[in-house]
Amino acid sequence: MEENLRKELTQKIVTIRRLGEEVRKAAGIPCIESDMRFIDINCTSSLWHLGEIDYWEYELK
Amino acid sequence: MQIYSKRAAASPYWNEYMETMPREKLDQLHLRRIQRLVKYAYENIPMYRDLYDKANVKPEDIKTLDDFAEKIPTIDKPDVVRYQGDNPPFGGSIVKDSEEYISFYFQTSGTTGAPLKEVGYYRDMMSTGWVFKWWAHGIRPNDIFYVAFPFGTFMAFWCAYFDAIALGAQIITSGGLTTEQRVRQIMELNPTVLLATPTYAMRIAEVAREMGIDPAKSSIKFVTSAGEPGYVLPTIREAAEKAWGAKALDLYGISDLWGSTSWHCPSHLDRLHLTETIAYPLVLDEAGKKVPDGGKGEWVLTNYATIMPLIKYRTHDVVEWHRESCDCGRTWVWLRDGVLGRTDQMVTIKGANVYPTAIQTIIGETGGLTENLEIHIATEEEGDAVTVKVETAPEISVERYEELRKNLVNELRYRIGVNMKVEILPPKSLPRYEVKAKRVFDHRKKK
Repeated sequence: MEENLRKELTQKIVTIRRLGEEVRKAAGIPCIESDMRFIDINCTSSLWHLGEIDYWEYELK
Repeated sequence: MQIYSKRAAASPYWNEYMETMPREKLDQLHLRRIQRLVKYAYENIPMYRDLYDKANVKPEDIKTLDDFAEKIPTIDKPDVVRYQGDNPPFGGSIVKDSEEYISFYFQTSGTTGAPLKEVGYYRDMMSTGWVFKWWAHGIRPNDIFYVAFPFGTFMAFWCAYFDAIALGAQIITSGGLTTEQRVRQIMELNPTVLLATPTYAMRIAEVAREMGIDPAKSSIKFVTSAGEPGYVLPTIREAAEKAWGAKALDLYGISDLWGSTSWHCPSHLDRLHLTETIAYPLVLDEAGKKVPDGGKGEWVLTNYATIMPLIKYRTHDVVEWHRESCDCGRTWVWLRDGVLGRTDQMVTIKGANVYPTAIQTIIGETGGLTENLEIHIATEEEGDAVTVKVETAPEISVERYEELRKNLVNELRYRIGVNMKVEILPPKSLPRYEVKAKRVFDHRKKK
């Protein structure tokens, strides 16, 4: 994958994580937090597959 | 680290927004979903195009929920099976050209005919029909589920498995183990939630006691069940709660309809709430007319599934439905006492309509007897006849069998109004089941 696409994907995932946190704060609805958690897991997984991150930096902080 | 924010963790609802939505607004949402679903099905699923063309109804005719109740025909399991059989494996019962999206395949047991093949997309499995109940009763991600289920070809507890993942809880699966091995695992791993059919939860407790282990002193705090008339019935609930020293939670789902579940209200133990995010309910009388609130009739559901939605699907389960809000804060339809019987198992004895579950409830309330029973229905000269076989509790001596038999015959006659034969059997005479117990044996010739 081209370097600029990798960077763009990384940026998108940062945005999605921030959005997830905002949704957690605003909604306080367990089922939505569960869904957001799985979006997060899937997004960070794609970064892992590109060698950008390691899971423990994200999941169990 | 906490999976849920403090605000979410403190919520008594899995989804407060939907669970407490005012009825009028909820019905508007259902109407929007129903209109889209009927159009989607008509355009993409050959079975529904055939059905609706024959009934001379078009999607644009559905302008209100009453239109839906009156104009759209019901569909029954044999109809779907027939469409599947015409062009196997799925025939015209699923969305055209959707094969690439199929994530899961299940089929019903086929005990009442050819099995119904059910397929769905990943999204269908993620509908979290069980979590609403668990969350309402205080089960959280730090709970540990023990799934005492063999994971067979039908959906049943598969939904629960995925829902426990969605909740974020730990899951211990015990497929393939013997009951003794399961008891040992429960004692070793300390799960807090036992997932099993009501019958099998009692069987595990029985085996534990035979092994010298008191299940009431185990780590189990909740017994959560489905698959049979269960903990919404006081006698079955009390027996499980006593055996396990735990809270017993009921759930009534229909495998054919994915996670279209109704589950135990936290405020009223005789009520089950339908998960209205997943399905739209109707209760119809024998003529197919909508039964008013508080009335009894056949539970007819429409599920909002992706690949194989079932629209006005006849469950053949008889329920008493209520659309008024519940004290627990939920606006979702609730059923009193769960499933009251089956339309196809109703017995007519000298003019009285009798459902086997009513017999089961009375037996449960009769002292000295256990929950292990069989109800046999046969045709005799004067019409349907019922024979009840029931086991005694271990402490009952043989000398008392005749007294128990007479008591039960009288109780059944007094409360149901007809005579039934009763056989009292020693403990452990009747078969034990790992999944659904077979309680009703209908020997009548099919018309």
